[in-house]
Amino acid sequence: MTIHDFLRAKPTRVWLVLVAITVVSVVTAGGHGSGSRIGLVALVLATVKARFVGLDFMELRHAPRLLRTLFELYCVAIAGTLVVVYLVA
Amino acid sequence: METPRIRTTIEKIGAWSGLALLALFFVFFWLIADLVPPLDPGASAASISATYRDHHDRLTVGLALMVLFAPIVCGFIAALARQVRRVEGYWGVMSLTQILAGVIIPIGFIFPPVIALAAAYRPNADPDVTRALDDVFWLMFVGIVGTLVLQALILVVATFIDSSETPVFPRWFGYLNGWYAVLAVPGCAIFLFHSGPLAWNGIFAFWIPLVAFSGWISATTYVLLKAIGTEAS
Amino acid sequence: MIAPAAPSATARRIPGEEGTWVFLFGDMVVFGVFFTTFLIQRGHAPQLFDRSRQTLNLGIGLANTLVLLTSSLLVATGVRALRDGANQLARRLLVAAFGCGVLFVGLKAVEYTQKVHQGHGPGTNNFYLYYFILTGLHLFHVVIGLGALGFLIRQTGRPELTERRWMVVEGAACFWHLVDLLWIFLFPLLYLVS
Repeated sequence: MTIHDFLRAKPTRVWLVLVAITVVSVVTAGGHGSGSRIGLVALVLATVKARFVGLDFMELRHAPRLLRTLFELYCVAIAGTLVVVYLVA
Repeated sequence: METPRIRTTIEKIGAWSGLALLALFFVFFWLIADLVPPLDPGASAASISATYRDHHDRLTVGLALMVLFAPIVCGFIAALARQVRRVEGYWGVMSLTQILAGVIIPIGFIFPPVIALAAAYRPNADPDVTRALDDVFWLMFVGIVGTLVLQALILVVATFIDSSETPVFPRWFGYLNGWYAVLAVPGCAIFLFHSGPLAWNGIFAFWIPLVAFSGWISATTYVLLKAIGTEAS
Repeated sequence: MIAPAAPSATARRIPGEEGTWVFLFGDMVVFGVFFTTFLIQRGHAPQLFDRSRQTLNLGIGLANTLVLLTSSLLVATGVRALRDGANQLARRLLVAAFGCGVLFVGLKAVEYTQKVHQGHGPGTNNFYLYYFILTGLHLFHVVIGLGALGFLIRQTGRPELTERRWMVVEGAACFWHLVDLLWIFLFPLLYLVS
């Protein structure tokens, strides 16, 4: 198999999505002034990216349910905490 | 030859003494002496002096009990070093280093409290003197982390080099110690900060290491009890 | 080379050893606490944090994000190549990932130098204090991760991996992905959100 066979796989598509999300978050949130709520978008997008890294790069998508659930809970917990703290603090 | 039951019991008491120290720390240091959260490193000499005067009784009783009872953790250190020795097969560098570094745990719960007790001993001393003693107390108590890290790193190595049929330490214990070693490090920065997360009352230097240390002592007690049980059978 | 633990399409299995996940989740939770602490501190001085944030070099931050994402892809692909016995290819991919890691450290060094030259040290204000602590801790992870990648690269020279060794290989790869995952949060927190 050549490198092309390996690159024509899911992780590469995931990488493209991750790069796209990164660019989107920089474009939307990068220039905002203080007090803006658009930073929330960047935080939520970061969690989406982190989830992709866990599921497809760390290969947790096919991990036993307990491990997969723990990771999903982590994503939910951290996104929830960051958003709440961002709004309240 | 079957290990005599009394020997196993003594080993297990040694292991339990780790958790016992943690429990006593919470009672003496936290509930009685009221020193958690720590005093503010940025506080004025007058306010530190006032704290030592106003909380004199609780503080002295709690810390004096800590000084008296801290040595019980020695049994834990001994049990831990014995299990590292089982990995090595003889009293090698790792098990002996584990003892040497482990000695600092009881010392860390004895010497700093004595210094705080000295501060409380003269309620009418110059506030600057009281605060200087208080500084030494916290800097010693929170800032000495190198030996804890060394202990953890030895346990990482001891876990992973063990290729026997029934390893002494489970592999997750090795990873746990790696994690703990990393978390213990920020305590070393307290000498440079008077406020913020790396001061002696900060989240990175005090709270997270406190949680990590509590978790480490609990997990190690559990692993030692298991290992002692396996060794006996 | 056939990896003993090669996953079938349906079987559920743990990447790496179980114990690795004690470490990985432990680290993720602690960094979660760090991120939350940072946002709480930001809440105390939003203007200061926002002003300070805008002095950061967004270009370097973005470049480093893309560098780490790419390195993660290279590692994930390298591990799959190793699994399929394409050791030469795996080696090239992993060496490239290692190069990305070194590039990250280099860009970070440039960024730190810039900051200090502009007079923004860790003592400047609370934002910079957290900026240096958080990125410093992460950099420490990157350095450990480079060690893990070095280990992976050496494994490509072995004709066969035992099951135990294969588990460690996956664990090391997951650690590198963790380095990426943590930066994914740090980048928006420090450069975008404040």
